[in-house]
Amino acid sequence: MFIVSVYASDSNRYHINTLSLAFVYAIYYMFFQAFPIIYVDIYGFTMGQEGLAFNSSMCLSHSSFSISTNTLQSVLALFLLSSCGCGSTNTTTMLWQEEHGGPLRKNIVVFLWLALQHLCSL
Amino acid sequence: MQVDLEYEDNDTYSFTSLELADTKNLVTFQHEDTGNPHNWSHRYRAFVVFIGILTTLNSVLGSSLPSGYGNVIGEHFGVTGAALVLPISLWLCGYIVGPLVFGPLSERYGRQLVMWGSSAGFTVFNIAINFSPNFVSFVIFRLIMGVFGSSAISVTGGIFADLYDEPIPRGRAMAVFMTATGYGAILAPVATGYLGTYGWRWPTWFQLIVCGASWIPLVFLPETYAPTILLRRARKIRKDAPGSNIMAPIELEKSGLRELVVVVLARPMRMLFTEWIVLFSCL
Repeated sequence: MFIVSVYASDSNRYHINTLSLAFVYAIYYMFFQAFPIIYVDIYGFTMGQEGLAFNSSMCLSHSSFSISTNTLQSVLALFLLSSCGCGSTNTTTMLWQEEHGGPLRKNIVVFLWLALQHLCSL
Repeated sequence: MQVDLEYEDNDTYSFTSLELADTKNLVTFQHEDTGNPHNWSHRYRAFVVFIGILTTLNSVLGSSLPSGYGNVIGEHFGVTGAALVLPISLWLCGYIVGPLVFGPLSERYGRQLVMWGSSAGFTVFNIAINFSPNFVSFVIFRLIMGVFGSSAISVTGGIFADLYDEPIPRGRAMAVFMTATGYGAILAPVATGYLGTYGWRWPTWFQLIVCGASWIPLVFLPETYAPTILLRRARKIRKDAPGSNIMAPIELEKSGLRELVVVVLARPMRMLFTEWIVLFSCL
């Protein structure tokens, strides 16, 4: 997903190297191991709900696509990104926080931020 | 010295002959030749891009498939702890090995054959994985599926390079393609999270359903690799006019098993270690 922009865009503008790509890819696939631990074990999601937590990454995937194709959609994508990370999960977040006493929203935002960092660093 | 010949038959083929030592005529593409993938219509090229994306989606969907239902697999096979990482990580090990084999093969035998062959292998092991008796076989089947699945990822990039010669449409196609790889890996845990509650086999059946559905457009995949198109053209001309010494450029390369292993399959590794620019851009 965030590798998308690098691969897809003009390689003269983005100097990539495989070691950093390997690192990013490792983190990307670590999400698939880490999400069940975080959301199922700690927050008590069901397996299906845990899968839906990946939606945040989907927005990121969309935004990186828009950035890489230089379309106007990137504005829309960033809007989606922000609404997914902060707005739409708000009520559920409150419930989970009351039940489990953990800052769920902050957690999603941290994942988004981590991914965005990689998007920017590449 | 270049001599232009016109093919006498009612065929539209025309070719340029390069004078070789023993006067062999080489088939090449003419200017604005409709056989050349660069000159295909936009709609048809978009269709080929769609096929490439669909097969890639298949493969990437599988890579993150066990994420949502790891505990179900663990309970069924009686495995706990760090071993549950293996279904995903061994698939990714297959991603390492596969491109080294399928990339060069697609540049020797054409994209179509390699895509069909690897997708067939992928489908067969997709069925086999549902009948795996223990965890070891499950994991090994997933490794093999990863090897076959990597073919779509590595060959599709080549197909896009065959189709588009301008950088902008090619970059756009690559952007769509790489987004599909991102979406696929994220879609799988959503689906399998819900399907996993119905048993450990359902997520892999789901993958088989997606795989089977993507075979429908996949059978219409045309050959896009120019040297292979020329090879088919040369064979057709030879068949129509026996005795003519028409050759495709790819036929001038030596063929044989030894040649395949030493030259074709070793090419990426040799380039990696002898070409400095490849080595440094790969670091």
